[in-house]
Amino acid sequence: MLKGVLDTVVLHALAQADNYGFGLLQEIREHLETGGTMLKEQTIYPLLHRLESRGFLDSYHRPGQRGTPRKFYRITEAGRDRLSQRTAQWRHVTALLERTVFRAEPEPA
Amino acid sequence: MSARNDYGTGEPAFEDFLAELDQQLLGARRVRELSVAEVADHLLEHRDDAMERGHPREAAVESALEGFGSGPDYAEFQRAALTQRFARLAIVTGAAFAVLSCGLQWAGPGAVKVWSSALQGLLFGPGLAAWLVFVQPSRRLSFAPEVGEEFTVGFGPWMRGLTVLMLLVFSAIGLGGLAVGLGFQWEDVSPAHGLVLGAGSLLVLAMCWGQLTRLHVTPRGIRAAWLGRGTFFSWEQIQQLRPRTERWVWMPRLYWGRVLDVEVLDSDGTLRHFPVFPDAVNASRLTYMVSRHLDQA
Repeated sequence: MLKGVLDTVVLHALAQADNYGFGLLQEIREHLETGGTMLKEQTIYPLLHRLESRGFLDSYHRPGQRGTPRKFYRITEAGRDRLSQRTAQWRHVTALLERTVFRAEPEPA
Repeated sequence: MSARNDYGTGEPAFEDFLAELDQQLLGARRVRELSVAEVADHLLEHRDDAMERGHPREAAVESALEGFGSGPDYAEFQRAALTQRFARLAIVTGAAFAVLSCGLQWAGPGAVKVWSSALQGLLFGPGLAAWLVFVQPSRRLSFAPEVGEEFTVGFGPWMRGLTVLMLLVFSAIGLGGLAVGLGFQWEDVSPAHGLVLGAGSLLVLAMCWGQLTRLHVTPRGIRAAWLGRGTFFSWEQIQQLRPRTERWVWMPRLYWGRVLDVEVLDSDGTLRHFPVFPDAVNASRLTYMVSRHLDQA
């Protein structure tokens, strides 16, 4: 997956509701083609920790279904700003590709 | 957390995996347990999900372990993150102490011994950084607060004691250096002397600012206290929570990594700010509560 896309996808998912690692993974995979196999399970944690250390996410613990601690992630204001910026950038890139590369390619049969 | 069945998963295969992972992670037990608890929850969730989809328990456990992937790879991510934080703190603290020591020698009667200043920085910086990163966890495993729960956000007695000690040492070095070196002739103090002492003082103040700030959270609001002076704010007065980005906060940010700011509307209509340091005990619980109140407002 293109560098930076997953950051945006994760921020977008957390902008809808707080979530924890596995829950977030399931949610994102539901929206990805190819069954989400391109997104490895343990990839999500370094990404979440990085976004948290940069102030785009906060976290808190709640007891999970079994009473064991579950770490929830929550988007911050800085995270929402970042999401807006990245969404605008990706829109721009997509529009550029639509006008150039995609136009030149024949439609798949 | 090294003995089997210590992680509370109830699955021998998970316990073995987590014990092995635990051994590969960096840091003291309290630092490692954050990562281990998150992975344990992930494995259990994956297992339950697989069982709901009709897999037998054994196959579900196997699928969870296979799905998560290599423990060493995950440990590598954690080690890289901690090492990066350690390097940043060691450089900032070490450089600040080396510069301050150099400046104090320059202000004094003898020749400046750059090598001895650098050595002081090299000894002090990595030591303090290692303690802060690998022993004192940057985040603690604590549950989000329940409604009506009271708690205090701040640093523990060891950290506050260390800060006071550093303040005393710095004051003594600073005053002694000035007194001996300048022979109490204040007119001889050059702007450069002031800059050197100022830089060192800024670093110490940045540390003190965080370590001596205490916030007592109650169902009615927050009482912020700094060196005994306290002010109370109700939840309704809190306007926003955001990272501090002003230029003057560069020094605390270098040291703390990130400083959050709670903006409060005072009773006389003026906006006031107080800092929240993510490394402090219960900081994540406070930001959780503030965010919840702001969402409801």
